[in-house]
Amino acid sequence: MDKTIFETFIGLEIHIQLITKTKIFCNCRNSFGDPPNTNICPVCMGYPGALPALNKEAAKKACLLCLALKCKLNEKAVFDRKNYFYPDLPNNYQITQFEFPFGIEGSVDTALPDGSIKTVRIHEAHLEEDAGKMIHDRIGSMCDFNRAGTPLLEVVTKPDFKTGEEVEAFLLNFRRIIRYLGVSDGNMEEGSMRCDANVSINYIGKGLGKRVEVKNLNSSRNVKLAIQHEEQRQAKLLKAGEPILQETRLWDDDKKRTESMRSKEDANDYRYFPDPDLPPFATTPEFIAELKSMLVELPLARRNRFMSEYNLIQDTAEFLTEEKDKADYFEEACKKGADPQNAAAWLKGDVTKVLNREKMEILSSPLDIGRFIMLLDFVEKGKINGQTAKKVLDIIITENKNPEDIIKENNWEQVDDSDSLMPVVEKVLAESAAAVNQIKAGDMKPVGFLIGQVMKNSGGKADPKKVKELIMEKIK
Amino acid sequence: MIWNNVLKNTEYKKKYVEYVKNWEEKIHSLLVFDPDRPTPGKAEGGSALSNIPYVVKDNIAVKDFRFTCGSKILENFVSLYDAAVIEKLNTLGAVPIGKSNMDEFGMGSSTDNSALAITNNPWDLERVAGGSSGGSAAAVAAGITPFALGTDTGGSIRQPASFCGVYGLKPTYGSVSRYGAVAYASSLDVIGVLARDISMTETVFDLIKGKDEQDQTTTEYIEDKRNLQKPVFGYLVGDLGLSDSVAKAYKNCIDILKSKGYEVKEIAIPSLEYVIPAYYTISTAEASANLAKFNGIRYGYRSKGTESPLALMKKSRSEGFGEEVKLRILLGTYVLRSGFQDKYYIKAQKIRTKIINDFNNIFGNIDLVVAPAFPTAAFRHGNADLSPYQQRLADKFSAIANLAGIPALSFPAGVYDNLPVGLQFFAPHYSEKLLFNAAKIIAEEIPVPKVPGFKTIEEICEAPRG
Amino acid sequence: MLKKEELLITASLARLELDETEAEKLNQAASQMIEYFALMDKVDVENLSPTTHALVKENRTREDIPAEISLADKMIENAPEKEGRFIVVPNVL
Repeated sequence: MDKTIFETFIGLEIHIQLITKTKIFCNCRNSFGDPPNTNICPVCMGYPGALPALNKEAAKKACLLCLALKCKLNEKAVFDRKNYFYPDLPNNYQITQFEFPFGIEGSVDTALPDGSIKTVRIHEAHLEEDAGKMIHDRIGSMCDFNRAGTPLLEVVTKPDFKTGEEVEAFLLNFRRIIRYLGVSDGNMEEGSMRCDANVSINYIGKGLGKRVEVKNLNSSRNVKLAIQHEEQRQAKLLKAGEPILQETRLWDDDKKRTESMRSKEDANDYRYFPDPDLPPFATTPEFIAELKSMLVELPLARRNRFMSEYNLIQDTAEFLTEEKDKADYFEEACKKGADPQNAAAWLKGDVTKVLNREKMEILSSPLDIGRFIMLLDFVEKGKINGQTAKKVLDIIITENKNPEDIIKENNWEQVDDSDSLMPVVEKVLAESAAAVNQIKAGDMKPVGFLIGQVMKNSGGKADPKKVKELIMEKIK
Repeated sequence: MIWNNVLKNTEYKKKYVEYVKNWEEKIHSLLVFDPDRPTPGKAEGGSALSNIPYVVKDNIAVKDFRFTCGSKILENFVSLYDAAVIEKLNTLGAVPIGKSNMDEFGMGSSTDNSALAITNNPWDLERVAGGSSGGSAAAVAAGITPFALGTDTGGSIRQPASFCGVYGLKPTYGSVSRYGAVAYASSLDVIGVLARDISMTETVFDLIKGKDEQDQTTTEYIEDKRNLQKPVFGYLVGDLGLSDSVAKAYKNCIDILKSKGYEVKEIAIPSLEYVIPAYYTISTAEASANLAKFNGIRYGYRSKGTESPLALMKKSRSEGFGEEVKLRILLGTYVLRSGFQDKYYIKAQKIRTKIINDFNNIFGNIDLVVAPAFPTAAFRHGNADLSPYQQRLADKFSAIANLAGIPALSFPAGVYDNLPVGLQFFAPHYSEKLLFNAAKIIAEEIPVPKVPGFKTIEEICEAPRG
Repeated sequence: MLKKEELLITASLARLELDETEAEKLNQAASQMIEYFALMDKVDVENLSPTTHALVKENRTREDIPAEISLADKMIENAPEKEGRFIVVPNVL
């Protein structure tokens, strides 16, 4: 698409499933992956006589996220019925918030790949119930109502995005935010975070064009691809002077394109009205104070603080603040005396490598902060060298042992006394006459090679610094 | 009292069942009669309701009983759970022995809108028992049980109670849990009690009221203890459009109060003439959503041989619902449609505010309002006496209490031309006690009438057989 | 009288299918009521706010604790058509 002629406006509707033990309006378990129709009861199945009862935790988590998104909380939030018939919607109305949602008028800052900060305005955020699921089969459509009544927070942004890349970066950041707050696990593949994009393009300066809603986007990458595809498609139509239909389109992941949903159903008129079964929810000063005590520093702010406070480069700070657990771990280690640069390097490098290999999370892994600090300390103090430390790390994680025990058991303590090392150095020098001569002629390149040989001959235990000292002394 | 022995004593029970069956052949008040149901709960000897049988309007869930709401769409549906009120009564040892007939989903004033049975008024089998809780009212009037549960959205307890000559209490909105009562209009619905005895009405209400976790519209019941000793009454004047017998009964009641030395004042309810449009707008709007759940997919009637979910839903609903229900769903859908909401739904909700304000003013000067329960006594089956449209317009005296959320009690006010006539009292929120006291004042002069053929439980059990 | 088209749109939103005679009869009855509703035009309530919830005193919420008993199996049995634990409807597509 020619960005000198056209401009794009993108707004998002993001649905996130909140982490709660029970559903939003009944005490069925809110859990993913159970056999069909296990977590159902008269309330979430729309049985005659059943009534909804709002889950306190869902209201709290919804409002907590609203505050983190800098939304104002409506003094009185009201639940409304959105009326439409669908087999997976038991009551044939969805309980949602329409006129008075929990949150209004917020904003989120996101760091874009080019380093700039993008501020996106939040239009509103409302709490609602999820519907069930249908699997389409030859015998018919199979309904599973386990998901019906899962608490959902829908966050609606203003059409502030200009490119698919911005949206992708925003979604990654948004996912981090909700995970930081512990309100949702934000898993787009499993559907605990879902995103619809409203894409409209127009000639520059002409304002918003016709709005096309794109659904069925199950990863932030697909959101980006779908937006880029829509830009191309709509630009082509505009150029050809053809109308753009205001419609809903579905992303086809195989064909990598959007397709019109072409709904046969009548035009919808949702007939929203306040749900008389649920009293309005007043967001009192006490309630807000309680939420404020639950707020945490958000990923972008934390990244920036890591850069200034610990003198980390952006890339490293970004890595450490991806997940709250990791950032907490790092800060805790620093507080307990770890050198920030050193700790960051280890976390970003070998620790992550081993944890990924073992499919472990840092907090639940055997590498508790005490062991991590001890490991760094041993390297610092020269008790073991870097190579040995990597082996120790591996064993801590795979065998759940203390670093000092591992070192003792394997007899890996670094050797740095001249008496034990000198014979090895002499042996290596004697076997490497060419390298020795080269050094003597002033070319220092082979030094590294010689150190390596000594390390090898000492079973990796030698202190490389000491070895270098001895080699230079001997050659002189 | 033999009532708490009747199910346990085989001899008594035999006579009792025979009595019930004799009445039921004539009035068909019950959709289910099951006196062999095991006594639920702990049935503590100390409870006033221990082992006492009662019937339940068929829009209130009783576990393992049919649960039809008088509709074909739920004809074979059986409840999997007990409503909150039933749970309470279970723990007190009361025994639900039947489900009573009703206008389909509570929509009607005659019980003729039931898809499953026609209930006759025990006073005159040609006439209706009223509705929608007609089965409960008829059963209580016939002496089948000492009390029955009903629901009241716009008069559905009080009007049939007045038609059958018994007490009918519509409690303060939110004072009794609605969990397990099938919603007609959720912001107006309330479960209440029908009984021939005011003390029984009071006892049952006291035992079923209270805040419930499963119904978040319930509130803590904090009794309003205003002027219990010497309440001041208010009554309506002018042309109220009442039948002769109701007008006479109304006048007589006011005279009784005066003669007993109570202060009685003329009052006006300025919003009274807007009650019906506001009530039918709000109730049908809520009903249109409340009844959307019946779509033939998860339970209940499903139309055979449909080829799409849309057709399945449309056919199941169209074949499963009766005419009055369809009409009210259509009305409710219409008044909520975009473009019409402000004109109807929002306007009606503002009128409701006006009604609440009117009552706040009224209860600033008086304690209780005496009003007709319905403009006529029981009318005949069919539409000859009152067309369905006229029946709807006649709800204004009763529906006003639902719009205001205030408690109301209809009480027997005499028998005219062999038909009972009922009137009602309105009181401020949470002052049911005032209603009971006022009813006792009237009962001193006008005893609860006995329908010909009525026997007390003692008479039933003592009477020689055959 | 309500336009027939309006009645049919309304019926469709409510997922009701009406045959000719039924539509005729219901339209008559509905029109009569809606015409009666026009009475509301006469009352001035502009300065009042709507009452949507009857008696509200406080926030009501429920603790986040899962139930111990389940009616799930019985509810599956209640479904008119099922396949394993699924409830079946004719194919949406």
